[in-house]
Amino acid sequence: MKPTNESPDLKDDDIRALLDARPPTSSPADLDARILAAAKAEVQTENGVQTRSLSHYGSWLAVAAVFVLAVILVPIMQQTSETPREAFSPEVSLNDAALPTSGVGVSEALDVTEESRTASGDLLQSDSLLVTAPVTTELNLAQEESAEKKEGARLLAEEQQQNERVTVRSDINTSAIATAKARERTASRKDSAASVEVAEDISDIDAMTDEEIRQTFLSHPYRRDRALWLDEIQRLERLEEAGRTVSARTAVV
Amino acid sequence: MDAEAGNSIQPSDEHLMLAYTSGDVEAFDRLYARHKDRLYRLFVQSTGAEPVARELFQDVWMRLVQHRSTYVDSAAFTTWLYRIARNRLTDYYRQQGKRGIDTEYDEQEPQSESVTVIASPLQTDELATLAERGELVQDALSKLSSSQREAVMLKHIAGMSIGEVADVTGENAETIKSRLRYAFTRLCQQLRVSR
Repeated sequence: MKPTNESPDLKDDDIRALLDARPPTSSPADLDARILAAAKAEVQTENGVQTRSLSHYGSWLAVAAVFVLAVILVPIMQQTSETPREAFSPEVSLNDAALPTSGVGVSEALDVTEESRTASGDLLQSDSLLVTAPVTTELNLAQEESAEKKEGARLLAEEQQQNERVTVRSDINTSAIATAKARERTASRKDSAASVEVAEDISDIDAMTDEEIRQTFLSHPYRRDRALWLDEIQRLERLEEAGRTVSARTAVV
Repeated sequence: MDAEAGNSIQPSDEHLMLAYTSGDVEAFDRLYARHKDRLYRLFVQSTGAEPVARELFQDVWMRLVQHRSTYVDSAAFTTWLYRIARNRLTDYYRQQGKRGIDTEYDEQEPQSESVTVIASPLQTDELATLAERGELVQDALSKLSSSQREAVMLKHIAGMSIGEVADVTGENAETIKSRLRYAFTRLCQQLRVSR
């Protein structure tokens, strides 16, 4: 028998009434309490895990931060500790070199100056000093130059021995030190040469007027001993004045 | 829940679920209170055994709790909850070696030999009599195909609309209507025969 497609006459409402008429079923209270407790515990566990995760990651972040700071600061501190040496290493090397080299150079210059002053001071009395002074200076320069070379080589050898374990930077420092020393030697030689040049310039001082002597001294580039030259000029002026006085007295007499 | 549903001030299921996802335990309490009885009844009606229904019921809520972060606001909470319940029922049927939710004969017309033409609607006293014999109703439901039974359960136990049932089952609305129509026919046959 074919099922009828007409209404089965058991309406939705009938079915609903049938189903609703059954004894109401509600979830047991103990089951409710268990599920609610589990849901709460799950959230609290998640919050705890998140907190632990944060603290866990926080500690790792702190470690990472310390590591990064160490990586950044250690080179900076090393650089800072090396910087004074680097910054002053040329000067230190200059000071070191000044003992044997610059000292010689300065004393040489003073010697030459002294010689020149002596020569110029005794110029009225002896011309030979004016002739011998440059020659002596050249000899001294040659001797001192060879001494400087030896001293520089010795210093370089010592520094190389001291810096056996030093890196390329130390090599650069060594090179800088050597360069600074070479410059210092050059400067010393220039000082000496300038002194000699001044001495040569005033070699014919007899033929020069006072004003020419003054201009020669004042215009000379070697200004470092300018005060000495001015003293010398004043001394010459005083001598000249004394000569005039004697002449005047003689004339009076 | 009905009282809550009638109150427009009450937050929606979706709002409560999102609040719970954010860690609001009270939101879950309210959500649970709204849906627990219907869901529990569904399991009791579907399995016919309250201990099994308890286990399945608890499993569904635990799954919901554990997978709360996967909930998206675009899905209706009821649909999401009953999909979980449906999947759990399917697993249960598979474990029991029973035929699960299938559609192999849902769209077919009922077997002719088992159909009795119902001449007149059930009278009120008849319904009351049937209701008193709850085991008959349960027996009639158990004789439905699983998909028909599922449609009846979701429609009349969970109180869903045709569209919601279609969403939960993944079928279209016409299919659900057809299942319900045939399910009613068979229920009537079973109940009248049982009378």
